[in-house]
Amino acid sequence: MKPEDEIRNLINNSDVTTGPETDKNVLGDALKHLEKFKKRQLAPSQSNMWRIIMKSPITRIAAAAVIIIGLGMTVYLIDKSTTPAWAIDQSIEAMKNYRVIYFSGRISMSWGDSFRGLGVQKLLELPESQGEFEMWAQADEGLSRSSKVKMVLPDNTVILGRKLQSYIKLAEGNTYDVQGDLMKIDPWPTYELLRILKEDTDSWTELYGRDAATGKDRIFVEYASSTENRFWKFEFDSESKLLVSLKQWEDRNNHEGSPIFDIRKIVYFEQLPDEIFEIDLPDSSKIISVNTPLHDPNYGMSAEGLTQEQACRKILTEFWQKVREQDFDGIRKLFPYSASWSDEVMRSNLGYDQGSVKLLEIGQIYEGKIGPVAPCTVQLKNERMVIDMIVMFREIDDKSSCVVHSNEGKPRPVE
Amino acid sequence: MEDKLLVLRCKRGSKDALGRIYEKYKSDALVLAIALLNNTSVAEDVVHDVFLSFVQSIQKFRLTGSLRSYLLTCVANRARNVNKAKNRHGVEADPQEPVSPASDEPSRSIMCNEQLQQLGDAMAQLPYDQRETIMLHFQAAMTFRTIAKSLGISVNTVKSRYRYGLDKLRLILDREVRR
Repeated sequence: MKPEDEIRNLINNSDVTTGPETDKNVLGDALKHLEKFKKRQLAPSQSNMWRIIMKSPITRIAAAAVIIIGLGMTVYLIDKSTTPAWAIDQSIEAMKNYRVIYFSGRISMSWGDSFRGLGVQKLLELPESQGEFEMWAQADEGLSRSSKVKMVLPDNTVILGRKLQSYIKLAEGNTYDVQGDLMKIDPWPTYELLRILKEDTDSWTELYGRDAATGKDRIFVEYASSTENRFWKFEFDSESKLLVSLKQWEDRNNHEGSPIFDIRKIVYFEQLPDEIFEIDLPDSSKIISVNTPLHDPNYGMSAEGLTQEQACRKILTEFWQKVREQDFDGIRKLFPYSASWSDEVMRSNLGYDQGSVKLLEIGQIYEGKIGPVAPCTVQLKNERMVIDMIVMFREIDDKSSCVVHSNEGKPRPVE
Repeated sequence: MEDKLLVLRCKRGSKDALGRIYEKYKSDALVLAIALLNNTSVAEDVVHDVFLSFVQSIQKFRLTGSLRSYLLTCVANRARNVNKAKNRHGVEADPQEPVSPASDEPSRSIMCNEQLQQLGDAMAQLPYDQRETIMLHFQAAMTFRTIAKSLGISVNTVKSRYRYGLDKLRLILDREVRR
């Protein structure tokens, strides 16, 4: 052995054992300081959230830029020529300056459904109820998606999403430290969403109106996405050009019923104190991992030598076959989002309570944001449904492969 | 990843997370401090101060690299200050003072294994600069360039301290074996 290695070994093998006195001396003082720090740092309750915002020096700097726009109750349509001209570029430009937004409204999808897709709903004991919500969100540097989101439900359940970490505090006191991307807004609902809208002008209509209560001119834009099964109604303030309200349906062809998101109040900020995105989690919080192995080579199917269309058809045919056979391990391998699902969650999420599922055909494949989307017609009990499935392609170690990413929008009956 | 989570939880005031960080890195921190200062009591104070300072600055703390490296660098910095203070007050750390076992001081409870006692005794015979360079390179896994940056000296100076220190340490350890 080299003399250098001998010294390295001596250092590596050096060790100490500490007794309770040392631990008490070293750790005790640190814990006392942490306790003091914790008392100062307690996360704000919702009731004093606005007070913190208005008192924060950061907010004061941005105070001039705080814009609160509420939706008027009665709007009547007017002739376009009587209002100042509006162009989508003006709104995109106006919203470029705001990285933080607060919005409140109503969600028409149960909280359980919202998280069932991630297979964590049962683990988290999330309330099944749907309804009103408040949300604070901060965009990433490019204003393309959220980097921090805090949602507060009417029963005071708080859900916080920060990149790959999420925290949940339920009204009755249970708390969770979730290692995974549980909540984010993608695309960013103001700047990025409008940028996409501008590029995808398919089915875009404009109407002009006036809020009867305030006399303010409004612009209404309706937009059916050509790449996703979604439909939006936007309302812009003519003067500031900012988005005032937003409604989203998970079906591009049917927007008569309740929208899945109905955002009725939007507040714009340049910046807000970090405290807004804090949450107080006790040590007893349960730690849950929901990281999805989307880029793990052990998941998915090889796409070597196949065209994108061939690979899509092959993986989806195999996927639905495994669904039919209730081969849960096979499903987990092809569909990484289900990797953490228990058999019970799998049965519930894939609708086994409604009988077996049979693939009838895969329709015309189209290009989506994440990857190609294939409309799969399946037989479910006595009903035929179309489910748009997203396939994601990966290049790992110079080898091409693909996974079933998720479904796109809501399943719809065969027309 | 685990360290990032522990730091995040610490930021939110988790005592459990701080306890886990302490349990995870206390031995490494104490070994470094003992090897540099050859005194368990002073080493304990240094590690105490490092953990206290870590908590006091937790709000602004951003973990960009390894938490272990960060804590060991803090230990080395504080140990250097302790050594400088001793020199300023004209009290040279006794190079022949053996690493104090727990039995010497009933209020302290640090038990060094045989290798650490041997290391501490040998290191105490080197100039402080040389033992610091050797420990930072071997125990804190710092490159010569990083050590040079951290100490504000040239890479060549670090290399020569390391080489001279290593040669001397080898002679001391050989002498011990022959005894």
